[in-house]
Amino acid sequence: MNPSTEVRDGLVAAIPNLRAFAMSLCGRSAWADDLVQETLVRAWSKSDSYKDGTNLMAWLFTILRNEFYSQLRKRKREVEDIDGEEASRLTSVPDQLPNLDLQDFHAALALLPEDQREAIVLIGASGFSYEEAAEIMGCAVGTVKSRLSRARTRLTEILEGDELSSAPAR
Amino acid sequence: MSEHRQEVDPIIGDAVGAQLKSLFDSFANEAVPDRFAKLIARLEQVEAAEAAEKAGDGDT
Repeated sequence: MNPSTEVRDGLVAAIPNLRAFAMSLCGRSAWADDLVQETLVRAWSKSDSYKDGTNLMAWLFTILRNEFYSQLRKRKREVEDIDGEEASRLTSVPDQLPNLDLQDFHAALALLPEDQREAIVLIGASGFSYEEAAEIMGCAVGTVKSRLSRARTRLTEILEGDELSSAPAR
Repeated sequence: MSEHRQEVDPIIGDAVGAQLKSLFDSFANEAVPDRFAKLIARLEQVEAAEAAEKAGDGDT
């Protein structure tokens, strides 16, 4: 199915935000760009399922988010076969940011469970409403708020505690 | 995405919210790798080839 001009132009314009979402979910890595590439290919081939005039960015974030969980499950299965401990570190990736505070914050974000991480990124950074985030995450608005609250509490604990200094090398 | 909200979410709070936005913006402002422009170009080529093939089928 060929995408409409709206979808084609929207895909191109969305790439920076898709990359930022992917890097927030799985670190600043080749995996993040692979996720964005897969999202673009899927969106292009499934463009007939997008209704012109609706929320294109939410549609693209949903595709990327679903692809992230699909690949995460696959990677965890593969790594658990080798070393169960390593599986829990899959989203903790090497990170080089120019600002040390941001680097610490990114490291703290990587320590959150995936569901809390995506909630706080969608609401706090990507600019989605609770309703849009709930649709992207496939859950109720109350669940989004609950995950958001737990994410904020946990992030504060990590940043104020010593977990970052004792975390495995990134 | 609805209109990008500038205010900090009340659940997230000021301190975490500011760092979160800074981090996300730093990622979003990075240069986009060439692979994505090449990917879009390749998808368009495939689409054009398919359209041409269909048009050819219609002629026969």
